[in-house]
Amino acid sequence: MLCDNCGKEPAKVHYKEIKDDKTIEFNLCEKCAEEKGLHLSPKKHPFSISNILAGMAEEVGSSSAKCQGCGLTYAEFRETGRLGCSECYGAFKEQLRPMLRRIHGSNSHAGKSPRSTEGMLEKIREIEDLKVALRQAIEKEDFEKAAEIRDKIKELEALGESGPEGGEGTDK
Amino acid sequence: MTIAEMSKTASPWLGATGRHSGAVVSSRVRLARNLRGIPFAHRAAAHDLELSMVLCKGALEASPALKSGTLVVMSDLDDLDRQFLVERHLISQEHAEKSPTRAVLVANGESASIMINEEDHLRLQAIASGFEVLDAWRLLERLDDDLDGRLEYAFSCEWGYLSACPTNTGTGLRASMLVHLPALVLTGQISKVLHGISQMGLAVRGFYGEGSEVMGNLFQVSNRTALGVSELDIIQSLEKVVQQVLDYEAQAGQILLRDARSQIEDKVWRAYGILRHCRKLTSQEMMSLGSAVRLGKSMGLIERISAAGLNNLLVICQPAHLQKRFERAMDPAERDIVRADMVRKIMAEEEARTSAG
Repeated sequence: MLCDNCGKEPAKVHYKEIKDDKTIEFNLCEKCAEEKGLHLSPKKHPFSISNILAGMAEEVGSSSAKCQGCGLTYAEFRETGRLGCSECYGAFKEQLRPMLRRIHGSNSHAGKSPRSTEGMLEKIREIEDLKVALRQAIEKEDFEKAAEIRDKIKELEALGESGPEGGEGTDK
Repeated sequence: MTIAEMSKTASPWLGATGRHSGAVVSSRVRLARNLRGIPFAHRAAAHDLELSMVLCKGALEASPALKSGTLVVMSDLDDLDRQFLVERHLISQEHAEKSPTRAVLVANGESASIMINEEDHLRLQAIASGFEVLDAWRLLERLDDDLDGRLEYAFSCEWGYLSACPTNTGTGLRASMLVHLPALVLTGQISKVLHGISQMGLAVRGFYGEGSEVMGNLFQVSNRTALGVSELDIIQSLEKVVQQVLDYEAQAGQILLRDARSQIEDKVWRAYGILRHCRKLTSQEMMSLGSAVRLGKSMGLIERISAAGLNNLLVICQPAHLQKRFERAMDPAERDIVRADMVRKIMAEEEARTSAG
């Protein structure tokens, strides 16, 4: 992927913001990112590369988030406590993750699975492991390695989406 | 089996055939399942509900394990029949709505039932008599495996079976046992024990669903979490906690017999006497007297009635059951008279049977 701004250098900084139901997304090379005020050093600016990369692993949630599947907003979910469809789990992933942990004391399924999803679980575990490694790389400020891991995650996730049963409601 | 036929027989899971059936009335397990790509029932448009109904119905009818089952659509039943199914524990109160897109399939002689378009597209349930939650699970697992592949479920490798309510997401399993704890109530230890149960990560509630007061000293103990634990782990931890509670109940029973034997005997026999000879009986009174007789039974003070007989009273003396049996609508005052007649008759039959045997 090339930088959205200059179109020459490979994009290394991927930025996504959800505001009033609209998603703003851009992918920049390091130089253009600096120019736009997205500083690379974690010490200089709170909006640093480490935050942005961390956001790749765990997107920042928004209460105005809306499910594309059934149109349920997060605010509506908070009112009723009921999700509208299976896609809501993907749309409100970031808010649901801590909530499910609070309710169940866990975040990952350990019971039976439909026969059609056999083999998918290992892949999901691999992605989870990679996400941990990604966070570690970011903490060590080893951004080159972080980018490498991030690409690997993307690759695995893309496979999941085209495969049977996909990562329904997990990573979209 | 039609509803009219059902109303003439006792549910098989009331037969007190399982282990510890003096203290444990029944074991129940249910699975929540949703179809992929169709909004959950509460948010689904009429055509979505129709679609889910057609898909679920097709799958249930094609399943060899459910071949002997009877499927009924809620809009084909009158108010009384729907209430009858609630009292019979075959559908939830929420499901008893006159709707063409809600249905239930009853199979395995009422030990299995499957609701279509309840809170989730499918709610599969199995009930067994006594402390037999594992048996109930084996049956339910077989039904679930048989439906797997016939329907495409909303499932995430990370979070398991996706449910309308996040508390069910994961295995979608709720396993519960209905236990009778009169000695713990009488000795004032019940709140401590209930607190202990919730500390163990399980939930406890009274006999008929959420928010209701605890009638007849009956408590439903169930798992609270469904994600991050396997089905068997959920069942084993329920068994472990209920076994512990049953031990406490037995100890409390011993203390009562040691310290207050004559009071307990008096309480049990007075309750028996009223049930055996009354001419008017409310359901609440029946629950509480039935509990005292059951206590006497578990302490070996009384042999004139079986646990199955006591279980049976819990179900067949409910309003819809009485009206269904006598095939006419009755107001509460008339029901109390008819209920007393029924109870006396059952008690007399039990007495004749137990003295002959």
